[in-house]
Amino acid sequence: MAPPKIPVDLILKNLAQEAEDAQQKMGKAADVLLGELDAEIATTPYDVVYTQDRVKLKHYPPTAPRKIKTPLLMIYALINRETMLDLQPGRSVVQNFLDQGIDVYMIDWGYPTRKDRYLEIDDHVNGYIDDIVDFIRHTNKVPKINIMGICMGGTFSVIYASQHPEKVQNLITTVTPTHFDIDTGLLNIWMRSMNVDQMVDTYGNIPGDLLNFGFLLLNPARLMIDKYVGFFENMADKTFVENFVRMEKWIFDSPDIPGETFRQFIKDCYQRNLLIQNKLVVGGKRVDLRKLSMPLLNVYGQYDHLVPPESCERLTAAVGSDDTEDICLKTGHIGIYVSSKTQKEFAPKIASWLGKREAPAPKKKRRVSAATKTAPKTVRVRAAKPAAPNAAPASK
Amino acid sequence: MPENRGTETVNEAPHIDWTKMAAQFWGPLAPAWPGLFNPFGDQEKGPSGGRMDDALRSSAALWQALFGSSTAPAALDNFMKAAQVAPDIAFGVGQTCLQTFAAFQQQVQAWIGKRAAAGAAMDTQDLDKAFIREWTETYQNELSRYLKIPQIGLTRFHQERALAVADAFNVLQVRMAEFSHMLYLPMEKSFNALQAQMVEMAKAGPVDEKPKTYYNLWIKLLEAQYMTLFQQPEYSAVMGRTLEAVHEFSAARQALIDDLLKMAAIPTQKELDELYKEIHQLKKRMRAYEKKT
Repeated sequence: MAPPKIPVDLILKNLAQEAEDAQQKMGKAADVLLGELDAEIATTPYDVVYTQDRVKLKHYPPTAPRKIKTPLLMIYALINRETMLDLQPGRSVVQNFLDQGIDVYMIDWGYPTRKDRYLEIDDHVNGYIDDIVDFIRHTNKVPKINIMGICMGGTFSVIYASQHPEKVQNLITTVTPTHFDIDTGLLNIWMRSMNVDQMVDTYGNIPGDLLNFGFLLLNPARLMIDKYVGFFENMADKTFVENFVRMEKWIFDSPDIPGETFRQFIKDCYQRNLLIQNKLVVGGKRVDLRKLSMPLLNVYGQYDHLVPPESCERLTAAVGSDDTEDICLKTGHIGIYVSSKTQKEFAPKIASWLGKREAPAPKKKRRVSAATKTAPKTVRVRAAKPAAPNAAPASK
Repeated sequence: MPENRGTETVNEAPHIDWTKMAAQFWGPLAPAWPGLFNPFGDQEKGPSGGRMDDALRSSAALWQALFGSSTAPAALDNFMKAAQVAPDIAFGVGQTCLQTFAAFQQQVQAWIGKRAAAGAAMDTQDLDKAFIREWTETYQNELSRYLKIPQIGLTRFHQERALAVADAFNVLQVRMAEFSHMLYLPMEKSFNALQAQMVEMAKAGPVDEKPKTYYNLWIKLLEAQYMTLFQQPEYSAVMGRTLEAVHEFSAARQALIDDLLKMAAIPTQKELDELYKEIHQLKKRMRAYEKKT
């Protein structure tokens, strides 16, 4: 049988042609790269209203009439930065929420230094988050606030809401891992054999660059090769370059993770899967998900390779709330926040969900006039109303 | 006993002639050097010229005593006997050295023989993997022990730390080679798979001329190969060993740096960490008290 003819000459000829096209593109690309690029991220204006150690609380001034009275606190993960939620105009979760009339606060975890290495999950949850929640409650004179957690921030939010249900009106978890004993995520497989004690004892805080490298290794073909091939092909497109640079700015902006928090998160969650079993101990107290009694909206991505759906979907069945909802979007881990298409559905859905679960207006105090003061007292007894679905449960 | 060699009388102790010659040479020079003590002159007279003078006096006294005793018949006899035995001793020492060297050579040849045998036994299909395994075992079993020889002396701890860094570094190189090789395997397999697919495509009909088509095909194959590799327990094991080697090297290096910092009276990382821990615990207690009140 004659050997198959692969037209190597034609392929090479096309390659030469493409090289020539590439050379022309390079000329235009040089103009783009050397010119002015609008690649700033986190451009929505905010005020820093609270600071504690390295942690800051951002408050975004409203851009539309407030429709949701209860403030929303967004809690991002310790990995990467919360600037992803405000990546660029048109793809900003923060801006979308503001446009929906939500009063938005966001925690900026800052950049941990060596002195933060002994901070545990308890310090973050019952320390920083609790102090910030109290600050927002007192500032806005509300008994409870809404919380939205992202990824590891969602895990912290779940722990917080379980230990302080009286302070949380509604809870939204997005791409939040709560069940870690799965085989569908590479992170879950790799973390099982990780010697985390040696890692933390060696580094103190886990370096952000090490984490970056680990995330790149999850899919080196796409993240280390194809992504940059795509960039070189589109280098002459200014808009593409700006979007690309913004994403690069965010994705490689990785703070270190406090060592003891990392140790506890890997050992107790990834390796022992204690959270979903109600066996996790934080601050000396067991985290009981059944005490999470407020409405819960659980959003996750079907194609999420970092936090697979199997890691997220068991939460709603484990909590004590009767008002829970799962939403599985056809996107990946960060697609929920950066995809303009997804955001068109995401923000309105959340605003609508929160709007239906607003706290009841506080009862007005009855004024006693001079005339009634002298009249004989009459006592009216009203029949007791059934408890509202989002009322706080009995204290722990 | 003196021998007569013709008209010349030669002392049987050759060093005596040499000694006399030296004395005859240096003796007259000493008075020519003003202020210098003359060891061969009258030692009773003249003041001491300081520490150098004292040292010269004691050296001269020793020299005279040795010279005097070596000319005694009994000493001469012993010296001649020693001179006769010296060649035998030298020969014995030389023989021992040669035997030791030969034994060392034998050991090296045996070691090379073992490596050659292991190399011959390597599976040619997996030659690179076998080579890395052989390299790892060779280092751990043969070479590493030289770096673990117990050190002696006042600076033994510092020496041991330096050797620990060298050992950890070598282990790291081995592990990194192993990990890099593992990450390279999907590249190789994807190229092979691409070639096979291109052949199938050519058999099926006219092939696409655009290089982009083949690039897209290759990247998909590469992605699939990596996904397969990453889920294997062997990969997790290699990654774990590599990380362990990185951490051990970091720890060994830090121990050496801490040594140097201590010498320079600069606080070490460990000391600062202890301070941070105390501050953290104090802050925590304060927060708890504030919340209570």
